[in-house]
Amino acid sequence: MLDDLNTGSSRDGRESHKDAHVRHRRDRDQEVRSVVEREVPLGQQSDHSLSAAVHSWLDGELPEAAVRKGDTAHDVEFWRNVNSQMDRARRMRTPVHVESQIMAALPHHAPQLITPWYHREFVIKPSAAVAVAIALIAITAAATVAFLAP
Amino acid sequence: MTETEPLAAAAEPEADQLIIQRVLGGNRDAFRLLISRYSDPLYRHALCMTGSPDVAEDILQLSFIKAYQHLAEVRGRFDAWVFRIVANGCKDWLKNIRRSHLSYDEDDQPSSYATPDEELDRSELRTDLDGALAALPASLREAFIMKHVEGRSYEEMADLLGTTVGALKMRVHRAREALQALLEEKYA
Repeated sequence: MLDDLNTGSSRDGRESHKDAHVRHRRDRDQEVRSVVEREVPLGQQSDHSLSAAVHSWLDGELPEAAVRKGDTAHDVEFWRNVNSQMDRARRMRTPVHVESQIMAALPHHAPQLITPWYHREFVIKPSAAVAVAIALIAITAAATVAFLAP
Repeated sequence: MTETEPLAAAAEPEADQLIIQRVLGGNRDAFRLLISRYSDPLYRHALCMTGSPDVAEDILQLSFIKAYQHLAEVRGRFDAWVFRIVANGCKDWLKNIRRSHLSYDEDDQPSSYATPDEELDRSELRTDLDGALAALPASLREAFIMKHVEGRSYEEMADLLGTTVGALKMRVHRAREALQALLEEKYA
């Protein structure tokens, strides 16, 4: 009800379409979430066991003729049905706009090797080494004096 | 049963390396070749794992951006490396969606992808096989999709996922049995 009031008052047609899309996407994602949340431990729901021959056929190690008869015929029919459903998934292609979307989102500079500091080459100049040594001697001397002073 | 189109250019790692060198040399547009070469199998993987075209697009986009940023670190096959990025993205999404509510970006643009026919196809697929696939634990779902949708060999799967052929066979077998238990009433 509130949605109707909002869309009817101040928004133009384009925004209404956008709202509808957002609502549609929300519904769809809620549906996805409800499916995802349905995941349950297999032990509670799967006591069906397929024969080794059917697994071998599904793995491409046996011809269909070897499992089509007898007890496994039912399983073969089932997996043929599933396979026809999966054909659609196999034919899915990336939506055309995605490639341009990715290219537009890429950084504009060339990728560079990011080396962690502990893997980087450590270079020290002789003058810096002398300075560090002098500083260490001075600190040690100061600490000694402070310690020995009454 | 397991015959699917071969993965494009998986047998041409040298060509990938040449493209990578061009990108690293500053030719940003050359990266488009890698996207067009590998986006379809990666998109299918993300779509089957998540069940949502929008989420699959997001995961694909983020994965390619990450791949671009770390392109100089590629050692070995680019397709295997980028697959692992996408697969981890899917698993992270599946973990997160259970931990927290989805956030909806009100500024999202309508997708030009969904025609009525595609919507019909997707909802049918979702209610049948995708619904059953989504009920599987992520590791079983991933193994099943790689075997039966992507048509990969167990050896290739083991290489990509860093596990053994035996472990993957076990996952695929368990996934099949669970799927059959879930779908049998409708399809038997």
